[in-house]
Amino acid sequence: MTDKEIIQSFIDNNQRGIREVYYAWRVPFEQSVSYRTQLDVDYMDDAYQEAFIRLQQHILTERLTADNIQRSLLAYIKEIGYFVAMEIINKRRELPISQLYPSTDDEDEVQHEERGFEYVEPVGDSDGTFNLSKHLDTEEREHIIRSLVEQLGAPCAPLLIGFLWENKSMSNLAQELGYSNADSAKTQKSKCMNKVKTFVKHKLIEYGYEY
Amino acid sequence: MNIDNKQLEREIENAIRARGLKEQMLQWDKEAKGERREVKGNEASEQKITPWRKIRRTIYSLSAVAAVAAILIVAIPTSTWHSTYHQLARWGYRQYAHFFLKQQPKQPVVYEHTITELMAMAEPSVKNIVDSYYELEILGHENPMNEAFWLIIKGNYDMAQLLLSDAKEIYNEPQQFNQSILYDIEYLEAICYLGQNQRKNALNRLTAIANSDSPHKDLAATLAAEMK
Repeated sequence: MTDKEIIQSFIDNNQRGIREVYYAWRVPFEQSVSYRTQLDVDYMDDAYQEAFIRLQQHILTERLTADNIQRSLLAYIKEIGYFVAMEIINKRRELPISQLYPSTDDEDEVQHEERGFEYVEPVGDSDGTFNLSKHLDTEEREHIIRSLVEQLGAPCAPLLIGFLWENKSMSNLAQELGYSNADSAKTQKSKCMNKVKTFVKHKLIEYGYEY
Repeated sequence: MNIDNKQLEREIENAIRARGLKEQMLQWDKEAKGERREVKGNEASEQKITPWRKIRRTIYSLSAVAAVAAILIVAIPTSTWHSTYHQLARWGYRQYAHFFLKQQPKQPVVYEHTITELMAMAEPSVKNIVDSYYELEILGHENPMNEAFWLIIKGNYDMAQLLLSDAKEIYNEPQQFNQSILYDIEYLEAICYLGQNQRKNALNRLTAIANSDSPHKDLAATLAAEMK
């Protein structure tokens, strides 16, 4: 598969395509991360999965698109893996932010090029500068929302995951999850979505975000 | 920082897809580990060794053994093979005797009459039988008994025995004439055993003849009694 096809697979939730690259990239990812960070093998699976999810999020939020990709996706995920590994090793909050994310100094940009790394610039920076605080807010917010969504249980979790990730139709979901018909499932899905939004909003306000 | 509703909804949807992906990756890892376990654990079968591969393995193994055997056969002289074989046979027989036969040390057996003496006792009866056939000329020229008689007279008892055995095949069908010849053949076979110094076999045959309706039963009984 080409990189563009892989990106499209993530956008379409094409699980067969995603699985193909998941299996194909594991060994080179582990070799790269292990060599650069000495990450314990026990955490390699976690690092790989987290890097994969971040890649998915970058694609879904259009930080990474088929048009703006400048290096191979494999190189991209290896770089994500490097940072994920560092977070795991150093317990993220203890590590100075400057060491977590790339600097905007020219000198460091040269180093990035030598390393072959192309980190994604956040959407909206028209002047070409790297807005660290905005980027940090986005990443942090996504991380918070993800951790909240992890806590979802039945009936919302299977319904929302089935619809949004597995691309199942409402009628299929109604049959699988025991709803009387597709409309009932759809109503439940809307209720779940509203509940999750309310829950997430409250939590984000606690973290200092304004709504 | 402000977040609008649409953006939040999008981010929640992305988070749900992230969770779906995470659960799916765990499932893929399980499947991959399960497949690796099957491959490792079943090298010959789960690994789907095809019948052709099994046949190929067998052929290679047999070829290797055959090649080694051929090299050995060519390299080692025939005399060495023979002597090794005989040594092994003797060793094998000694082991067999030691473990299974548990034989007492053989004491030399002393008989009342030697073989030569017994054959001398049997000679008149043998001559009578042979002469009766020659006189009557009842046997065809191709009959093995002719040669058997000649061999008995010459003392070649083992060959005579073989021919008598062939003759038995010819006369095995139930006819009175045949039965008479068969009685003669049986007696002569017993004499042949005696001539070959096979006392035990000779005694068994003579005893059987003595207990039968053979016209030679008295002779057989006498000889058997002398074989103590």
